[in-house]
Amino acid sequence: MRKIILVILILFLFLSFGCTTKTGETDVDYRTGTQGIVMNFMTDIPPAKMYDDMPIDLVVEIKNKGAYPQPTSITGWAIITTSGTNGIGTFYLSGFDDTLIMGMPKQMSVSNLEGKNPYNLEGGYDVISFRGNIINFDSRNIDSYNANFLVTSCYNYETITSQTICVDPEPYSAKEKTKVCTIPPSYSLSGGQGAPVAVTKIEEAVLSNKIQFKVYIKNLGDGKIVDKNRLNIDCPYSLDYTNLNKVYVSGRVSGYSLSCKPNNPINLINGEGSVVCTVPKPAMSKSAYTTPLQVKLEYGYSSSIQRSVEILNTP
Amino acid sequence: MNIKQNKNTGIILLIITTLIFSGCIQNPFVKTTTQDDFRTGSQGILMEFLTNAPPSETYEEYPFQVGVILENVGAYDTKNGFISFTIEEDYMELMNQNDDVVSFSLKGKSVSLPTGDQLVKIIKANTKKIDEQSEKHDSTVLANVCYQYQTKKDVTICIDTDIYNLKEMQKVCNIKDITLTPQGAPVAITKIESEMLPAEDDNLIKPAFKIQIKNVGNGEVIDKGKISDICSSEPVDYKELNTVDIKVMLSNEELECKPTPLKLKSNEDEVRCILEKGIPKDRATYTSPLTIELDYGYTYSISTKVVIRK
Repeated sequence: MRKIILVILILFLFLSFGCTTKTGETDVDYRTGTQGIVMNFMTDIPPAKMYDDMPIDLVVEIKNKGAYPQPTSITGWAIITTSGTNGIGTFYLSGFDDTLIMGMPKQMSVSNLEGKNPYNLEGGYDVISFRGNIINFDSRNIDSYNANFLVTSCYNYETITSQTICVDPEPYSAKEKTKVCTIPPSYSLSGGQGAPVAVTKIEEAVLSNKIQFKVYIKNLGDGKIVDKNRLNIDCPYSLDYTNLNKVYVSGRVSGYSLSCKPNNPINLINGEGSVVCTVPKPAMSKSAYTTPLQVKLEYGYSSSIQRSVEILNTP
Repeated sequence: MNIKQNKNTGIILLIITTLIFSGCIQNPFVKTTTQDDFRTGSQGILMEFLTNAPPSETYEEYPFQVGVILENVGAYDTKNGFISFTIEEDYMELMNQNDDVVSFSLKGKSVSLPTGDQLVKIIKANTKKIDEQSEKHDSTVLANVCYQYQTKKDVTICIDTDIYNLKEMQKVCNIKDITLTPQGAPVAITKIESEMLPAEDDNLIKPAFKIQIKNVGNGEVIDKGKISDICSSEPVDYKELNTVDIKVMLSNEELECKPTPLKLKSNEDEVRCILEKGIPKDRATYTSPLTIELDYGYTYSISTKVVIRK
């Protein structure tokens, strides 16, 4: 009886100190949603109406509502895998007359902003502040000025999709065999994968010597997809059709890397596109089995928020 | 019970008053007034005869007064304005010959003087003998006011650096025509049309504006340098009429305007202004203040009938 009590006591202590894993913690699906980096102006910073000859502050909340980047198992920090970037992204300020509002930084970068993960289901949060000074309007003989502040984000992002698929080397076989799975007409993926660009559908076809996957991609966010290799060069002031809507696709299934056509980058039209990827077909002798198909999309992304401020000459 | 209720209401009012004075909440009853709020209406200086000065009826060889009240209902301070009085010299005479032209200054509407300034000018005159055969004579007294005035308006306009919409960046504004109501002066800016023109240098755009100007008052526009001449017996050249000087600033850059000075035809005309130095195309679209100042002279007359009886 004493031993039983002792065991119960030890178990209780373990539970209290968190030494046992809570069941279901890793089951939480954080790779959902259609947002990436989300910005919004802090309420009343700046206010809708201001006077001249005073400092002006613009405070922007930055939230990572997507699932990229993930903290590494060793450091716990979210590391951007794309090279040549300034942290998670850069935020550019424009839209106002800089001879009237002086000293405002034109851009700011945020270094680490982890995406949603099993330990942080809300995603990372940061605040950036732009501060400048409104000149004395009497010196310019101005009564009022409607300043517009446009904050544009340019950041690298990734979408990782994992879909359990059925690999059946002989889907059309007349032989009576019990199969663990059958290939459906398509795999539909709704709700996004914790990123603004999502894989919306996968169609599988078994050919003579390879398995083919047609992967449908769509921009479900409210921004623009930018070629990740042009992000730091063209975004946001030189964006045009040559550097927009470009997505780099890669993936793996059953230990094979996907071989995709057309070659990267894939060009989306009206925010939608598709790519055909193949892997070698397993031996005929193998029966049908299920396995995860992992598709990775890499891209740059840009979105904007705007705030208007009426600035009046102090009476 | 009533005493307790009154006490609670008092405490709530005290808290609200304290918050308003401390600036923590905005007083909903107070709207901030700026000089721009006074730039409304289509009049500058208003002039009226005083009641019974001159009288509608008087007798020959009898003294009377001519008085006018001047009111600056516009939003510009006028200095060196002139009033001239004209009478039928065969039937009337001024008691002081220097009174035929009187100078004045009047402050316009402003935050510190929301109603504008007023001024009363009275001169003394005498009627002369009328014709032997007449029982009465209908005479006219004329008052003419001449003053320098200014119309000022600043509007926030859009500088679109991407004329052909080639860039895929969100724009904070779009180019549009701006229609305006009179700006507290007899000459008004009625419309501003913006256009972004390509420059010789492919990396620049040139903002250009077509500004429509109209005489919306009840008088005549005159050259601002000829105010005293118009209100005197000096001869008036037609070139001195309908002349408006224009100054247009885009932020801190003065634009080149043509024609300048502007000659209003049929009381209205338009001027085209351009920023020749241009703006780099690699800037994002932005808003900027366009400040327009019109300087001119203005004149108008009022008259009244005086019956001179024997």
